[in-house]
Amino acid sequence: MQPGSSAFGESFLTNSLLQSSAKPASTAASALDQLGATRSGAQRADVFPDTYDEDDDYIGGSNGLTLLPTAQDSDDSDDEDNPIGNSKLLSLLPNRLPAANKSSFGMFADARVVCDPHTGQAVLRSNAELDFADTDDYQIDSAPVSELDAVKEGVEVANFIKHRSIADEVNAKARLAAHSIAVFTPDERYRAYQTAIDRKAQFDDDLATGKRQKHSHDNSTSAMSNPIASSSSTGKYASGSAFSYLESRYSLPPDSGDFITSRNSRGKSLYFALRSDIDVSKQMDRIATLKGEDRMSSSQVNRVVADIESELDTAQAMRASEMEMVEMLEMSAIDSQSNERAPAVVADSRLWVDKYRARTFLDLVSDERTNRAVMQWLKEWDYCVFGRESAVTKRQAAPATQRAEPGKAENTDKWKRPQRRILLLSGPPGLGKTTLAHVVARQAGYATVEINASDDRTAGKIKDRVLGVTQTHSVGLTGETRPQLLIIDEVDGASAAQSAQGDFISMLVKLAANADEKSGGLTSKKRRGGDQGPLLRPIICICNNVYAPVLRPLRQVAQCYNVSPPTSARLAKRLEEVCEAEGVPADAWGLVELAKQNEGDIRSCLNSLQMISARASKIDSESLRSSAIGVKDVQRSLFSIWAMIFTRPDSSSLTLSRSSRSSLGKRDSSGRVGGKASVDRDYAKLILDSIRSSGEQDRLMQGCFENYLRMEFRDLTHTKVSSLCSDWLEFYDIVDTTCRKNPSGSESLYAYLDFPLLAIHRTCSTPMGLSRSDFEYPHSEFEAFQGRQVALGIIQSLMSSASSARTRSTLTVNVAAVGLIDYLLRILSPQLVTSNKHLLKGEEYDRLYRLVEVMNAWQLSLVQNKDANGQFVYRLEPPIDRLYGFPSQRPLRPIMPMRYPVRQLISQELERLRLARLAAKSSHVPDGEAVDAKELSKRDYLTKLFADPMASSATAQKPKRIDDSEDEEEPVVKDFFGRIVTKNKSVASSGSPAKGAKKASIPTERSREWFHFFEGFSNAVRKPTQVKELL
Amino acid sequence: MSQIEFVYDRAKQREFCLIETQGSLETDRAGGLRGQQRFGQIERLADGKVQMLIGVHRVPGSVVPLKKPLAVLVKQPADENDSTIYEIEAIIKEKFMFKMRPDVILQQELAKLPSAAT
Repeated sequence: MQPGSSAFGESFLTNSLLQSSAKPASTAASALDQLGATRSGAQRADVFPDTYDEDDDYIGGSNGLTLLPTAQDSDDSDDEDNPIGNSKLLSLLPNRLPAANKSSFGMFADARVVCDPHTGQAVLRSNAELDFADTDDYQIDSAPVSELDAVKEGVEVANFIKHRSIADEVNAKARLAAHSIAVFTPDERYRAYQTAIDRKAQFDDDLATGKRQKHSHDNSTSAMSNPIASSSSTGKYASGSAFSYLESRYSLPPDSGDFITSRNSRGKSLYFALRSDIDVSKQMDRIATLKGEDRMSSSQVNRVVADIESELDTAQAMRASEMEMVEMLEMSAIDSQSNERAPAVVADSRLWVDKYRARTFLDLVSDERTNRAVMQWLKEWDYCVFGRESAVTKRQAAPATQRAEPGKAENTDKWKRPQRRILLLSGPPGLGKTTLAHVVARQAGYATVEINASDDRTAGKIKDRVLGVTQTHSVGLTGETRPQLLIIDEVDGASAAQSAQGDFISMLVKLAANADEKSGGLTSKKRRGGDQGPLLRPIICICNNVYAPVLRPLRQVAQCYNVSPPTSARLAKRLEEVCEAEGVPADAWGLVELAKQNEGDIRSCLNSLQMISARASKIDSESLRSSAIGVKDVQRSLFSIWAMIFTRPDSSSLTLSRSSRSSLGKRDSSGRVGGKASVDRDYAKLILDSIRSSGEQDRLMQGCFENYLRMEFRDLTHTKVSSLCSDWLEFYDIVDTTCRKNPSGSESLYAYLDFPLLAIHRTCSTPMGLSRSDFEYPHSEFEAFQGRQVALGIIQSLMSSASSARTRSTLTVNVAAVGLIDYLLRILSPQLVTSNKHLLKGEEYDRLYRLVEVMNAWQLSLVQNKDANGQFVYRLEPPIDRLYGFPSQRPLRPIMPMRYPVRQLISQELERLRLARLAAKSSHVPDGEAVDAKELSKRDYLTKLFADPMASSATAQKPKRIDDSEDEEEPVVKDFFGRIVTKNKSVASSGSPAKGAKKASIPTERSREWFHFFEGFSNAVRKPTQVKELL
Repeated sequence: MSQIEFVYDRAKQREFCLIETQGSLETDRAGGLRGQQRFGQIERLADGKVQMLIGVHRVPGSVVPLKKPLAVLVKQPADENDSTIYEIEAIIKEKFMFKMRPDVILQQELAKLPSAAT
């Protein structure tokens, strides 16, 4: 609610409402229009009687009439400065207005025009309120016939009063009153507000007793408008003389015509004649002449008017700020934080950040090279957007594209757009990325449209807007309007969530890529249809973190520029200009310090500057320090901490950050004083604080550990490094291990984890610092972890498949890794040269047999698969050979025979052995003949096994198709093993005949008959069948 | 009205079996199933069940007694003196029902390989 003006505004609203109902054609302006006009021009309309012809039917709070409902009953009416009363009805109005017209008229249907007992002003009161109020004070006139009549009546009374000569005077008084509102000082307002609060409290008490429940609504709204009420109450004093004037003037009834009677608080009756419209116009003429005649009153009025006019302008300005304040007070009232005083608002409330925002390209403080690059990129669009080839484009296109990406992309495009249609500006907050985009765009002749991706996060919403802006084929070019350029702010805040149209970023990428695709084909426009035209307007995206995962696809298609912070000198110069413009004396060094402290964040600099200037008269290092503000809350990235660790400070490079400031700012004013030792000490503290705030000591340590040997620090004798390792790194290991083992019990140890990093700083730092190309992010720990997991898996699979149960139970992972694998691999690597089984000699027979046996015992196998070159290779499975030697190098000695044919031979023999074992097992278990087989000497067995050239050649040809080979060999095996035959017999004798038959009936070739099983249920239908159908 | 004569000679009885399968017997030989000398093999197992071996498949089945026995009749065409005679070739009192999913004989043997070796 706007105090001050709202009092007028609402009274106007009332007027226009009454007007439009009484004489609908009289005023063209609607109620709302008038309300709007009131805000700006209320004073004028109120003040000048000349303007009455425009809105002459008038019931205004500040004119002759005051709308005075008195829900505030006798105790308030008795109150001498009745601050609430005046605006009670006013405050009611907006509440009732939204309802149907009928109801708002209904309110007036009950209304009477009465005379305010205190002010002597005529008053429109509602019946309900009159009922409630002390009605003895008022003489109520005839009841209105209809609602409309009531309204008419009120209006005419207003006219009547106004067009009397008293109108001038009353108006003048009212004007004074209005003026007094305007010049009300904030303190007075505050007091008025306090009284209002008190009243509200009082009312609330009463409400609790249930005394006034009927009027609770009225009263609570009155509490809202109390400040207004109290301020307009001053109008009462102003109209004190009007009181007596009224009394003398209207004490007699008019000679002719209708009139309204009213009685004032002194008990005197007043008679107001009712006039028709014609009378009113006559009256108007009379007023004009009267103004001339009645010098006494009109000169007074004129003087006052002149005064007011001169003061009006200033008053209006002040009122604006006061209104803000009162509004704040009211807001706090709503929040029922009653007695808090809102902070004063300075006259020029604009933030310096906005006030001194860069307007032109030359104002930009950010890095010039970036600025120019952005401008260049934008200029490359000129041909496409403006249809002209600017000189800048011609001159700079070639180098620009060369720098951006090699290749003659420029001319291939139909519209000669830059190769990359989207510009991506990145950089920490506050460097003026948004400003840069806006300024450059404006300079290049675009109208900017800004979309904040963190506001409208869904792709669907943004898509329309993006397309709407970028697809303006003609809208931008025709007429006077500028073409539009889209700025998407905080694009990294776009959601990665998929919606129906895909996520926002991929939509952007598609837009850019789509344009790429289209640039080639000429008929593309037709093909694509109206859905997505080519991208013909530049898009600038702004983000903080260019490496955000969401932006990955965008990064590849966009022209990326990183906005780097400006040098502190340049920033300080700009700050100095600002201070000069603001008239705040500033110490140059202090500004430099401020700039450094904010790390180039212009916005934060300006904000803190404004803040400091509000408190201190002068800006220097001292005032900067005394205020704890103006320090960015920075959490450094790991890389920057590593950079700090590996950088040896010199006195000039020392930038004090918040942490160091707070700890040693008082004692040691800044980095430039004090010797080398103090610089070192401060820097060490800075590092320590950064480490602690990052909270990632182990990661930091890993990074240092993996990189410190690459640093070019001076250590000719290697004593520094060796002492570092033996002392600090070991210390770190001990502490870290302890912490990890017992995380809860060793909190006190955590603090020590920081110091080894400092030790690394002392030993390994160089003045040059750390270049990112040298530094690698630590990943060896993760790699080691992964490698360990793999190795563990291999060992465990080996252990679980060990043939003997005792081995399985006793073998541990460590023993297997250290004591078993190496020897096992040696055993698995005998000298085997011959790959042809027929050529194997006795010695090699043995070796092969042993190898196959061992492999069988450990369930090792050779698996054939393709290597990277598509060659077939046999690999050991589980791959225990990977546990031996280093992964990147060839093993020191060959593991297993390496040649493919030999491995193939081993694999075949292994398979044969297994099949044989299996067969033997299944046959031996049931009966006692197993003993025979076990007693069969291995040598014999082996000889027999290898004595079958046909079988081996068959398997050699098709190593994978074991079943086939077995099928073919079936009779041979029977022949050869003999035991198979025995087995069949034994099974047949001991088991059921069917089983034996089954074994015998294993088909020797692929059967040509088969049983086709129908899965699921049968849907057969049972139905009677006659024999003849079967026959 | 002619009279139908059934002749039952115990000595002449042959054994037939009625097979009920969930599925069909198929072949890719020319001529289909007809004229096929040997299609597969049905075995009675010790536990009173049956199994059918066809190709590489083994279908386990069960023996179900028929509620009404069936007779297999052979029609003797009428000669001059006699009317038509039906000879009862066999009486079927039970059927073999194969409604289980068949399993592959070879695969089953090979599937044992890894586990059997340990």
